[in-house]
Amino acid sequence: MLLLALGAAALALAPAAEASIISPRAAHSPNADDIRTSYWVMLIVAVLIAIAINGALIAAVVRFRARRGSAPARIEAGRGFFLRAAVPLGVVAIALFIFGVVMTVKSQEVASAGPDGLSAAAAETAQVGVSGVSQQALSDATQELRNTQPSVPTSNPVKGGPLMIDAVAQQWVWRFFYPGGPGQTSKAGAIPPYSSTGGRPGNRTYSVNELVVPVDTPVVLNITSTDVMHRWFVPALGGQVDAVPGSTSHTWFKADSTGLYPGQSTMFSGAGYSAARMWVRVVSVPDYQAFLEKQTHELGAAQAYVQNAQNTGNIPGGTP
Amino acid sequence: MSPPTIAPTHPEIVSEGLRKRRPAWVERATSADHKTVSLMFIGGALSFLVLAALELALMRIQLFLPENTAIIPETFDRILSSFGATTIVLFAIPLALGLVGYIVPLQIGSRGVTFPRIGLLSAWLYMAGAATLYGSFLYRPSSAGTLALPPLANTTYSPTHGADAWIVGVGLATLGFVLFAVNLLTTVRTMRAPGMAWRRVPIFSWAGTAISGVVLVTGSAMVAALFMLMIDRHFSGIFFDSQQGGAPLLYEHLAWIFFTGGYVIVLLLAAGAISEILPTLARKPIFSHRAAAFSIAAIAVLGVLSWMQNMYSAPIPNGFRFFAMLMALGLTVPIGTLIVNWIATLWGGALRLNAAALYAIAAISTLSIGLLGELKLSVIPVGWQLANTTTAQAYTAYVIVGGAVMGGFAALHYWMPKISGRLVGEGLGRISLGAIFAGVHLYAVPMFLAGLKGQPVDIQKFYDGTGLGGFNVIASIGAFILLIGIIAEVANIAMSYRGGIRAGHDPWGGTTLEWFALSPPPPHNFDVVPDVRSGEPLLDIREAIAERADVWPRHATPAEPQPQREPVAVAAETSPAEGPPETGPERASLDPAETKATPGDAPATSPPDPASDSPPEDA
Repeated sequence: MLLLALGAAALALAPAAEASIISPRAAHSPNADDIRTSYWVMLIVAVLIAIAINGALIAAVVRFRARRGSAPARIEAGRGFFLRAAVPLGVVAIALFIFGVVMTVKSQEVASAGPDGLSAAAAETAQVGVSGVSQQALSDATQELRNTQPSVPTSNPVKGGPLMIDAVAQQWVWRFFYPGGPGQTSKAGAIPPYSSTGGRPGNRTYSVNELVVPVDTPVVLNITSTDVMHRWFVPALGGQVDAVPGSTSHTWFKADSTGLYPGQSTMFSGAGYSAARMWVRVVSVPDYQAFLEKQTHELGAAQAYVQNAQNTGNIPGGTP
Repeated sequence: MSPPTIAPTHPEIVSEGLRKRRPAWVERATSADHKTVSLMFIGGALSFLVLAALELALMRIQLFLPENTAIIPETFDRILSSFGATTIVLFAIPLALGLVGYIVPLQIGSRGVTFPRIGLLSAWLYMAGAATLYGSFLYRPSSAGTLALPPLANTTYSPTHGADAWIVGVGLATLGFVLFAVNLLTTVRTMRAPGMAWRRVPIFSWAGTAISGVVLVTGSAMVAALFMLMIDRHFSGIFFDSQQGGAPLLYEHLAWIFFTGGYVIVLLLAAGAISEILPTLARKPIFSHRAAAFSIAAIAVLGVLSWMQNMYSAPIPNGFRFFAMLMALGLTVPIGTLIVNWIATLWGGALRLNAAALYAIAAISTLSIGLLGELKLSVIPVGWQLANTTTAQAYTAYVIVGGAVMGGFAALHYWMPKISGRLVGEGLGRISLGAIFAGVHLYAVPMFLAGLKGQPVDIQKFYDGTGLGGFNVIASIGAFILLIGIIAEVANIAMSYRGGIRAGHDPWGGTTLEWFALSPPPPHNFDVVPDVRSGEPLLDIREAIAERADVWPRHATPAEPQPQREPVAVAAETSPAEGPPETGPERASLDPAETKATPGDAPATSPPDPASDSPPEDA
């Protein structure tokens, strides 16, 4: 009951305290909202307990410090003290555990696209993998996020699923691979997913350090690393996710408004670690499609240029 | 060790026939006596505490201003990589082991330890590990981060021998700790005084046993991990090489098991010390000995099992995360019970507010803040948001400073009179406590706020225009104040070791057996190992002395003055704050047979003494 009341209080407080100094940066994604709710509930619980402990401690010290003639009473607990203290504390712990499980599972649930999102323009966006809402695809992505089913290459754009982005970290650059690319421009699903061993990233459209995504659209990130461990962390769009070489971690977000959201790796990765930053630029759907076309075109042109240079032996910048 | 001082009141000590003594430092370095070994641990730990605080201050100089260029990233990473190992491996764990190794054999009424030479070897391995780690500063120390996680710690990304030095140094020291733990566990298991049943083992010895158990389990895991890392680096191993089917996560798990174990050890050290200091200085038994012992055992088990609380963001299944969250939240129960136990111990007592008590109370307050922070981080979504931000760093600072620094200093204020025979300076102790207390809050509160804005840990610079400037300036000032406080207190302890006020054998009126030994104790600890008949053997001994001396009537009647407890005579001369208690703690009965009929669960709220001027309340 107490916890429910606290949760309600936290929910009421959370929007009011957006700009507060004691709250994380404002959330712009449903999963980040769940994190904020958890944070506020836990902050209130922790502050209440801290006040109780320190208040009782100060009271005990002030009231029962040695004075002239003060004699200590010999008070000892009976045998059942531990259980009597443990049961209420255990109830609190179990309540917090259930709360934590619920919030974790809730924040992992990939939401469907909103009215302004990519699914609205289904016909045009088949090439980038989102063409209408498919509950099955969303549910698959959610399962993957919870790591409760063996990893399947979800990087293949699923028809009707969320936007699948492969985020690949290396010292100290993030590359974001979008569905589709210069190597394969028409058919969704024909591009192999990125992997550190297989995969042909050169065939896919990518951007460096700045991820561009459409607003109001669920985006699932498949995160991995090619060298050392890194960590994805954009505070406004959810929590931290490790980029571990040889395995793929997942997270998702659905940005609710356009803008530039800064982030920074929080896993120490060597001398350039402080500069291992990433940005998410959230744009409208037409802007996103324009960006993707432009990026695809430029990458294709660059690859053609390099290919041509290699074929003719006229390699720019000298011999390799 | 100098030959035992022969106090005039203890003419029975015989120290004839000892072999010829070598130079003092050779004696000190080669003696297998658990007390000299432990002093090596304590001395080393305090030195590395100062070094760790200096390293923190250096890093805070770099982080004083946005985009500062005072320390280049390569140098910063080397300081960073040694800072973590110094704090946990070279300071916190050895301090705990040193105090435990000195006090526990005395508390359980043992004349030594089971494997004295293994104890000596453990201290030497610790010293060798520290020398290896810091020897690398002569060429090129590791820059592989606090945990030296592969692949960053592989030869590809850390090609220098500094990383090797880090691995070997931490490995040697940890191996020493494991050996120490074996020695201490067997000692507590086999060498307790007659009558020292488990239920009568003092709480600090319980904590020492739990610490040894944690070291044994987690230290072994770390030694194994470091072995594998070394094989990967130099013998073409693929344990952690994902390209060839290895698992970098395996090392992360093992390293977190160890560093979480270190965290638990910090907590147990403080818990054990506070559970001895408060009852003695409040002249009141601990509220529930049984609950305190059980809490400490539960903290050790649940704490180690919650290692994945640090790995919520790693690619592990939800089930693992829920398990870690359950264990971490479960810690609420034993820790909460322990805190209730402490406050109930203070309630109704007469707490003597000397430096030891003040350090203990500051430790409880600081620890409570840090542990509640950890409680927040234990809930998975909050952990996703705040792990590896400076918010988490602030909580860690609260726990390490509250537990290892304040708790350790409380223990040293309390037990140095036993170790050196001299009181630790009271005035400087209070001043440095003030500095440490102010410093840790000034450091941690801005770090907490900066982490909420997304400042990561371990960064060498933060960027202008991110709104983090003010937080970092204040945090840096806090770190400098913390450094000053720590240096002042370590200097205070060092100066008092030889130059403090003489303390006598029992300056606090303690009830556990270490106060039965001389100060400092002779190599064999006790001339006579007492027969233990309760959880507070010194009360029995004082009564027996009083009875045998036939000074006081066997059963004091209400009209007559209460018998004064022996041997307060020594304490009376030397304790600066106040004289011997007017009336000793009330005892249910002076008859041992009657008192001991139901040890532990006696309804100790009913002394038959109607003259008692503070009638006990119901527990």
